[in-house]
Amino acid sequence: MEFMENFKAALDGIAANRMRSFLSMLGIIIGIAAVITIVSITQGSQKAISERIRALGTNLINVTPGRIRGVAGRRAQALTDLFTVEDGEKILKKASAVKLVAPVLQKNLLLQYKDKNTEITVNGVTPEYQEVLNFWVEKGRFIDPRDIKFSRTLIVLGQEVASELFGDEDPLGKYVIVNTSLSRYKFRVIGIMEPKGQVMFFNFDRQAYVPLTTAQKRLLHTKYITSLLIQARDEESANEAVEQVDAVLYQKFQDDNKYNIMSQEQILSTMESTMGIFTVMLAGIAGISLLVGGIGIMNIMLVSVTERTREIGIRMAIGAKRRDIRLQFLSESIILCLVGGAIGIALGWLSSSLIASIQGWPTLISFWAIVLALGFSTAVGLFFGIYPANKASKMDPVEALRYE
Amino acid sequence: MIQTIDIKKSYRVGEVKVEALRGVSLRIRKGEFVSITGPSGSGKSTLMHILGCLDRPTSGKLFLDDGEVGKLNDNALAEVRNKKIGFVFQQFNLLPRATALHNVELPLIYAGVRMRERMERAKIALEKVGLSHRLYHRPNELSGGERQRVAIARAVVNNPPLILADEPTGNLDSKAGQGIMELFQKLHEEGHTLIVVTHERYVAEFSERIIHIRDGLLEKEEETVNCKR
Repeated sequence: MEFMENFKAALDGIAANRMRSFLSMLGIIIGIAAVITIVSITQGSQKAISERIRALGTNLINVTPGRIRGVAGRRAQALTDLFTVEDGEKILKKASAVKLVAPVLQKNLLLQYKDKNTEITVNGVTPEYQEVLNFWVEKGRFIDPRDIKFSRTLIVLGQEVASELFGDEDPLGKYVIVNTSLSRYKFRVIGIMEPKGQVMFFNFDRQAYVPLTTAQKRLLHTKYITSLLIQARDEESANEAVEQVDAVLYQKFQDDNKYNIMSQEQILSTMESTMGIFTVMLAGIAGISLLVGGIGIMNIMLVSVTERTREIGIRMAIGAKRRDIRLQFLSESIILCLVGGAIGIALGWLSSSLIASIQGWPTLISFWAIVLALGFSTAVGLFFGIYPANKASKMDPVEALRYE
Repeated sequence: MIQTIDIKKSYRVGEVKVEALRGVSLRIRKGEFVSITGPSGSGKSTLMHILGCLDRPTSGKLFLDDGEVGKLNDNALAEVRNKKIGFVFQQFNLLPRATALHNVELPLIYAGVRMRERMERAKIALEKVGLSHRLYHRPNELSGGERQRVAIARAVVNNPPLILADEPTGNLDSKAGQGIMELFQKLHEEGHTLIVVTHERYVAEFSERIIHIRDGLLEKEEETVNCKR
C-alpha cells in the first residue's frame, strides 16, 4: 500500500472518533507541555544567571581566609587575621598570570545622615577595586592613590545606600557618620556607584567604599584585610592564575586549609552543572507522564482494533496483507503522538511565556528541545502502538468477518 | 479453472473437534456460473472460505487458475484474493465511513494502482453496476440494493477471474434481490466465473449448475435450464 494512502487511512481512523482521539492524545500533550515548560524555564534562567556572573568577568578570583563549604551559605566573612596588603603585593609580583590585585577590608557598620541610618557593609579598598570588579563610580569620583596615602575620611556610596540616607538630596559633599563599636567618624561623600543589582549573594548597591588605609588605621585598627580580589590577565589564564596564587599562599601559610581560592570560572561551572542536573531530574519526572500517556495510547488503540475487527476482515478479504494492516494501525498511533507532541510544544511555549511574564524569569526554547520532544513523542507512538498493530495484523480473516 | 481434490477442513471448538468438510472434490470451468447450496451447518460457508483463499484446508489440494493455492503463505494468499477473486457478502461489508467511490477503489489501493487510474477504474466499475449518480454517497445514504451493487463493483474493479458471492440477496427484499441476480447474469455473460453460495432455490436457479453440500460432503450436482452444454 502506498505511503500516502496509508497515511490517509490512518487519519480517517483517527477522525472517526474525534473526542476519543483527543482524550487519548491528552496524556502526550500534557507530558510534552510539562517537559517543554520546565526545560525552557530552567534553561532561560540558567542563561540569565550565567550572563550576570559572566558580567563580572570570568577572570575574577576571590581569595578569603578559612574553608568555604559549597557555594551557598556564605555571607560577609568574619574578620580573620590572616591576610595583609603585603600578601597581595607578593602575589602581584610573583604570579605572572595575575594582572591586578585589590585588597579589601570589610565590616558591617552603621551609617548615619541626619535622622536616617542604615547598617551596611563598609569596604576599605584601593583604586584597583573598580577595574577588578568592573564596577564603576557614576557620580563624583572613586578612591584615588592620594586618599590612600593620606588615609582620608572620604566615602563612596552604593545606589541604594545613597537613596536610603539622602532620598532625593544630592549626597556629594555632604557628611555621613560612620559608627564603629568604639567611636564615631565623620566621612565626606565623594562619589556614588553605578547601579548593578545583586549577583549570587552580593548586593552591589548596598556597599560603601572608604580608602583601605583609613579603614585599617582609623576605623578598625588592624593591619589585616578580609579578602583579596584578583584579576587574571584574561579568561584563558584564569586557571593558571589560581594555581599561581595557590603556590604563593601555600609558601607563606604552609596549610591550604587556612585560605580559600574561588574563581568566577569555578562558580560558573559549578552552577551550570548543578542546574544541568536539576533540569534533567525535572524533565525526567515530567517524562514519566509521557510514559503514562503512551500507555493510554496503547489502551485506546487496543480498543480501536477490537472495534474495527470487521473492517480489518474486509480489508484482508480484498487483498490487504498483514503488514498493510499493521502499518495502518501503527501510523494511527504515531500520528496521534506526533500531533499530541506538536500541541504539547505549543502549549508548553505558551505556558512558559506566561510564567515568564508573571514571574519575570527569562525563558528559552531551544531548537533542540523541540526536536527532542517531537522525537520522543514519535518513539512513544511507535513503542506503544506496536502491540495493538501486531494484534490487528494477526487476526484471522474468516473470524474477523464474522465479528459482530 | 478451479479444482479441489479431497478437501477436508476441521477445527476445534473448545474440546470438540468439528469436521466441517470431510472430503470435497469438485471442478468448475472457466466462465461457469455455479451455485453451492446446502442446509445450515452443511459446510458450504467453510467451502466458500477455502475457495476464496480466506482459509486453508486441513488437507487436500486446491487449484485456482492452474496454480496450487492450498499451501501458500499469508502474503501470497492476500495477493490471490486481491488479483484473482472478488467477494460479495451477505452483509455487504463496505467501509461505513468511506464513499462508494473509495470503497470500490480499495482493492486497487492494495494493488498499488496510482490515484488517477484508480479513480477512473472505480468510476467505470460503478457505472457498470448502474451507480454513476451515487459516487460520493456513503453506505448509510444508500439503499440495501445499492450497497450490494457497490460491493459488486468493488468485487469486479480489479478484473478478477473469479467472483464469489455468499448469500448475496440474504439482506435484500425480493425486488432488490432480483436486480442483483440479474446483474450477476450480466457479469456472467461478460465472461466472469461466478460461484454463488445460497440456501434459496430461486437464487440457485439463476446459475448453470447447482452443487449440493450436506454434512461436509458433496451430495449431488444438478444442471439447470441455464446450462449451456
